[in-house]
Amino acid sequence: MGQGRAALCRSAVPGSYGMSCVRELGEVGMRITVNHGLCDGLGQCALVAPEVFSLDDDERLVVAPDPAPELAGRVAAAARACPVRAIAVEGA
Amino acid sequence: MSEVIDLAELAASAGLEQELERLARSHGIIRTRQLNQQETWTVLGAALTRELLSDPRLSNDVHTHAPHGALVPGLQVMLLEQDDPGHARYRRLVTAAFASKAVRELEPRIEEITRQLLDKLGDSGTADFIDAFTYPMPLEVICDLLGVPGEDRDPFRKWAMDISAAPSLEAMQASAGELFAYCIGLIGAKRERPTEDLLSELIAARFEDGSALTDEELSSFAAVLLIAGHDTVTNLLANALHDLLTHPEQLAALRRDPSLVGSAVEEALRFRGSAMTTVNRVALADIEAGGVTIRKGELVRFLLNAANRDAAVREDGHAFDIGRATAQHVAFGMGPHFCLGQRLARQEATIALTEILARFPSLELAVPEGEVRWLASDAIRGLEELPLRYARESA
Repeated sequence: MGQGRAALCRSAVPGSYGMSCVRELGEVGMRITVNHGLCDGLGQCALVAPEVFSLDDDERLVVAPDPAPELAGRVAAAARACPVRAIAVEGA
Repeated sequence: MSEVIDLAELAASAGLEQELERLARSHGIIRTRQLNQQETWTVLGAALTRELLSDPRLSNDVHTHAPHGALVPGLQVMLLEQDDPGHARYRRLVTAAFASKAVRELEPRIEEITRQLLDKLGDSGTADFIDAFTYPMPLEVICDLLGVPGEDRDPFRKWAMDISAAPSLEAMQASAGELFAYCIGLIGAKRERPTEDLLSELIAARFEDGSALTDEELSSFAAVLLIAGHDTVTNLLANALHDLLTHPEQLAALRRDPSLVGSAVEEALRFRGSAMTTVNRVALADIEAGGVTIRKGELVRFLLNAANRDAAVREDGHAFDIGRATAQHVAFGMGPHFCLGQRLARQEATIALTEILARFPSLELAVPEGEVRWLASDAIRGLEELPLRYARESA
């Protein structure tokens, strides 16, 4: 996968899991993956880390590009707060 | 602080929320005694509630870590008494049934049930609205959704009351046992003859590895969805009607502008939600919180109705104000165990309030305000009965 600060979104994981969205956190090398097939738009992640996660008008989860590295702990907590574990964080 | 509070005793009064908020001013967390005489930590403060509800050092899996904290000994309640990642694996099986789209599709059926129940009340009279409406409405909806035959529904009210408003430990355990036994039978019947409903879908559901739910898991699922799926809305609706009728200026505002119903529902949830206390958590490590040390192995629960009145969040928390443009409450909890059915609950409450107020321009408490009786429960906030005088013409 790409290096550095680029945020990218890609359709991945064919089949029942639907579309995944990948964001890379610049310097800390943390990668956030949202499984939109699982995400139910409950917004629990957005309560924990509103700088990174938000819901649009259709309750679709939006992940901010390029979040500050010091938010790594909150991003991990946001992933844990998800009732269906739709958010995966690597390298936190 | 050495005082141990008996919540069920306090709950028998309308002033419970004020009392808790007063306690919360000095202690964000207190000791309370539960029905089975176990002492637990009970979190009152809003900030502490938000922090600890997502704390991985608190486990919902009391059956593994503290069996004395279980709702019913030996019967692990699906979702409520599970931790991730297992909890999420099970929850994913029912996500779609309670998602926005599914709940929107239920709207016509909820309206139909609502109108049929209101029709039975006739043009005017006096009735216990819990008996006549707030109990049967959500029960019909969840039974339809799960596929519970109409003729089976009679014992549910007693089972639900015994389980969530627990008059005694014995009654609670007996009713929980009967409910689980009923659910085992229901699952067996649906296995033989699948129908188009959520329980049949769960029987047919497969995990990623191809495995299916066991009969025990299925009946635990059925039991928790049945009880949590109606009893909470029954009491929420009754509380909402009570609070609107005892705040005439708020009721008048809602009658003037029915589009306020959404924010009225949110305020009802904040002001006197029905799922007052969460199930127990157990500390997996020593935790410093709110000036106390929660020791590893100790039980912790959350008094959501106290957090929702926390003066640190809003100074006028004891004012019932349907104009507050905020859903910033924790009536549905927060984090991994955030209420599965919150969209359905909100939709049912919205439809019910809209239809009731439109149907009866004249609606009032049929007993003096101070004479309504509150459930002596440490888990559910609700009324014993809600006697209302109603008429289709304004008086």
